[in-house]
Amino acid sequence: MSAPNHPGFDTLALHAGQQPDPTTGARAVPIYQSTSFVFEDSDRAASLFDVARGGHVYSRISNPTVAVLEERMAALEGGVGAVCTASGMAAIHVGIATICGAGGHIVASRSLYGGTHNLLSYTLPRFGITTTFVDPRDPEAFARAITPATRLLFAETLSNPRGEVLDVPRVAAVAHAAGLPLLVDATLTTPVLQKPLALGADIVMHSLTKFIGGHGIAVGGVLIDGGRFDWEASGRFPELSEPYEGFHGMDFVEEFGPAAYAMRARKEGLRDFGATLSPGNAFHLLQGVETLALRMSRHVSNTERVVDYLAGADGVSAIHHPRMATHPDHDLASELLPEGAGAVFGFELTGGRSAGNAFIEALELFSHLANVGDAKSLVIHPASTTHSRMDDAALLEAGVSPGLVRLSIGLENPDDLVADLAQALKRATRKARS
Amino acid sequence: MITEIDGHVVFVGTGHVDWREDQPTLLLLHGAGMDRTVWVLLARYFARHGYNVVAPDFPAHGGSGGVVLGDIESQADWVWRLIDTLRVGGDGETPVLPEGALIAAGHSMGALAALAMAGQRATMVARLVLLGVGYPMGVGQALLDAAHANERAAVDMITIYGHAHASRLGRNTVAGISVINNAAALLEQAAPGVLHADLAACNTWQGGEQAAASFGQGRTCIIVGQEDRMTPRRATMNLLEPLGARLEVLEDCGHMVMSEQPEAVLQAMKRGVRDDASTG
Repeated sequence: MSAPNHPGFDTLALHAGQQPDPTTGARAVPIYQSTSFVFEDSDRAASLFDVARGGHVYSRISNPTVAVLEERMAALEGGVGAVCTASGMAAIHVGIATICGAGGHIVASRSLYGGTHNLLSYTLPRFGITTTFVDPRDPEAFARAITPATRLLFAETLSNPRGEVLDVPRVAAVAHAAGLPLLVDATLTTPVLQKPLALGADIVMHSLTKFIGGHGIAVGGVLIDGGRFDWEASGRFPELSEPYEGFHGMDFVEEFGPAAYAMRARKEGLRDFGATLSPGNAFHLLQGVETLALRMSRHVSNTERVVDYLAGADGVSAIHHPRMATHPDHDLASELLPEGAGAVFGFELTGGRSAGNAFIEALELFSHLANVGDAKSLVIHPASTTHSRMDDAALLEAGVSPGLVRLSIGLENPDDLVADLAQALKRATRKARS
Repeated sequence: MITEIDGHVVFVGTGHVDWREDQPTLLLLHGAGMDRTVWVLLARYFARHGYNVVAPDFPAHGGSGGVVLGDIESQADWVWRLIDTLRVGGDGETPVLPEGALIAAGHSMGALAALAMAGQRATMVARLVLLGVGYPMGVGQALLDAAHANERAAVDMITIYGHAHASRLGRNTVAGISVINNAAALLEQAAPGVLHADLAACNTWQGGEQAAASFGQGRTCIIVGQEDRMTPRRATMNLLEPLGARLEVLEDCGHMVMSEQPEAVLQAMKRGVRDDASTG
């Protein structure tokens, strides 16, 4: 018996979670645009409600089209199960709420997407869940912030706009030493560039809206359960290891073992919070998944070309991409992100806020909007948009300099991207001097 | 449910329904390196359809403590002790199970243990349901070696060879759950040495003929996957005649029948526990 091989990433991206439709023979994943599903008899109905058989009841909780995307994402990340949600923010919320209630505490990286920062800083405290923010480059800072109330550690595998790379193995080790799980937002790396579960993370979430969907046409999120964290042994998670009156006294660890977290996230999180992914959006996102590896390769190669150009361009004072040898996480990225450190990064214009404005307005190919991970190249100037209410001192406190520009590099011809950046830089530099 | 044998915790899945004295008991025994959770849907179904379900974690598996049992006969002895300890079907004080009130089902290694049990106390067991089974249950040396070394390759061999092609790509009826990755996670949870001890127990058991002869004919249902590469069909056929068993072969299914084809297994089990080939 020779050592066998699992299906490769590209094969799973096309096939995982689906067989051709047995009724129609449809090869593509059909869109099951139905809120609910007929019970063939009352016994089957009761069994589905009792979780004594597999199947779909109501699309808020599960849907055949969405289930293909869920199983495919679990396969690509190496997880035991996945739960899709209406957005990446919904995935974070369900991810936290599944194991954390009032009185709970989170230790999180301070370098987070703004929406996540809002959730942790302002919204969750209203429900009794607090967060301590720490430097993601300091694993020991996570350890020092853990309290008896802590229920999880949270960070992004690759942050933007400064490109901080999370040392997943070391932060996971800190979490596990304290009997806690590590939840990571891997939106900017995708399973093509890194598989956090294999590095020690316990739960992975993605905004599917970004690179995985890849075409800027559908909002969605996903939560993936690694199935390796021992909820029972930790003793901190009665939500999973004790009977839950809200679901027929279900003890999720006792019943489902490795898939306990994913099952509770669905049976409670989707049932009660209702942030469900629509089957139509699941279909659109599946088209993105099928070409994810091909696209990420091009996103990365285009980014490297752009970074190399900017490194020698007039009017650019700093580039926050780990490809740069001067970046603080250059070596860590080489180790943990050998296929490339993503396609979203910031860079600094010497002319400050006015140069940033001028640069954005001069770009012709890049689209000025608030998104990342599209097939098309995107740009935003935080000081004049997302952080426009801050003065220069407050911007610096937030790590956003007045001249910082964020790029999300798309799939266009790289020569065209460089040409557009060059002409915009020239005009911005001229304006800054005038 | 948690009980104790020899001072060691024993974790028993029950399908989360209170037992009733007037019901038959359905015993569900897991396979090598696995635990009770492989039965979750079937346990919950039968517990709600007239059976007291007993789905234990063997010693050193899942939530059970103790030392791994190194051979199939020891596993059978241990399960009988568990049945006596639980006093299922009794009032909690007077032992034990009425004669013929037990239906013993097992998957792979658990199927061998169920057969051995049935051979030990043939009158106590009404029916046998053996899933993913063959006899002898030979295990390849490469798998034994990898398991002995606690290498990841052992998990890969079982998850890949243990699942049909379709299951390796996935299409689970339980939304969002990866059959193959869930199996891998279960196997990875096994303590060092446990998987090897289980596989060696399967590989070396030679009591199948005697157990089958003791149990007799006409009370066994065998359920196997059409693409089972872990227990090839010729090994399954070795049990068919001695047990006078009825054979159910599931399409698009490998060795991990309960997770690969949960609905087909449920229907086959419903027939098997009643020994009724016509029941849907």
